[in-house]
Amino acid sequence: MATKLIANSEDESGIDPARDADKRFAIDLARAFGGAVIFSFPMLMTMELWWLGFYMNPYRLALLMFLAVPLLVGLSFYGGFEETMSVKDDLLDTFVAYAVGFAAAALMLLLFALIEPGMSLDEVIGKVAVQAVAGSIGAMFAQNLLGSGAGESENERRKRGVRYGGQLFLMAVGAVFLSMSLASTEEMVLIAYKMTEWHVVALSLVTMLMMHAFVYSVEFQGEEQSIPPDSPVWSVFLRFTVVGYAIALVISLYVLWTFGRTEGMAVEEIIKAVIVLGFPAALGASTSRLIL
Amino acid sequence: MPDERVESGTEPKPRKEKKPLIWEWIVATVGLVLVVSAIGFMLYRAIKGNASPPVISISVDSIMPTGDKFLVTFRAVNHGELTAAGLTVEGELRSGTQSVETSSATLNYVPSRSKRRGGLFFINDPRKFELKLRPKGYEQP
Repeated sequence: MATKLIANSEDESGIDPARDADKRFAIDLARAFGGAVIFSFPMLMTMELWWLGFYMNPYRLALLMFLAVPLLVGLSFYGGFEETMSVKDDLLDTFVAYAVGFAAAALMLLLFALIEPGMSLDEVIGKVAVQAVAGSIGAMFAQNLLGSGAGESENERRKRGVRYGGQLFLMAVGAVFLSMSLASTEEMVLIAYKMTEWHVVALSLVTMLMMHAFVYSVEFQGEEQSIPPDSPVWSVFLRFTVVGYAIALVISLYVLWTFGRTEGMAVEEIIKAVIVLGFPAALGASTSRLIL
Repeated sequence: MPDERVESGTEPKPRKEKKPLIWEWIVATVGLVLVVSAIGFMLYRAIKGNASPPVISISVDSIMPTGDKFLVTFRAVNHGELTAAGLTVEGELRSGTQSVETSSATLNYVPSRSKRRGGLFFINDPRKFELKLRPKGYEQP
């Protein structure tokens, strides 16, 4: 089958198809690298994240790196590098993105003098690994944002994205991305400490209201709609806004736990911190379809 | 079809060949190796467990006059397995049993098996006295 595909491409283009494809892959890699850097800037330049690299619980870091694999596979399915035809292709894209994420993280940390001689292997590997997760998602995002697209398969992808499960997945990715950029900072917990119960209730209401507005503007803007225009408001609210907010809250809790922010906190304070982080996470969730 | 492509903001240049390139395989393999080894390394660290507390050793790098003061630069190495945050380093100049002057510095983080540098200022010339450096305390991050 492979040889047949090569034969086909030779028939249809005048230039050497192998070299052309090589060049395109190099461009894709450069674009992915740019995406990895742009999307992980907030994390690369946050000191708590450099420190987390060496003191965060190694089990949790390993789990985060592992969970990023299905997330990237899913992102590749809904976009990513080259149009993907099979799970194998998605896995290939996933590890290409991860390689780019590692390279971008290592290079930027070196440039910022955050990796230096005298640092132990533990410290260097930890620092790079945390950043590589965000970098790899950024690398995958870049293909969607800046990507050259791929004709017919672009429409195929969009169709995939429109299905309900796909919608929820993309919401989750948006939530992961924004919450990871913010969860590591001291401020999340500090804000939670400052807020009273009334503030918390108000924030969660505002969050849902803003989410709902985003869901509406995103859903009824494009030509492909997953929600019929005549569906009642409460249906959209329940199926997208409330479910999306729940996803955002669960992801906020997971990310806070991963970064050790829930350590030693009372349940009430954890809930507050989850709702605080849930605000950016929910907005990330409801706008991720704008990006993807 | 061409209209749709323009609307979706993509280049009207369809891709024909679907077969992954050899380069793609190579880069993906590099990624896979990095991910697996990073996860493996973390798990190894986690399973090995029983992390030993910070063991800090401090050594003097240099002593030099700076303006009207003297600067002692030092390095702190953590031989333990836990990170020491906010490590306070105290330097003392002694003459026999008598303390002449003390100075202290705080190092933000000294991770496991890593070294960090710092400096202590003294009014008296440390070369004329007995100089002692010791870690005073830290916070567990």
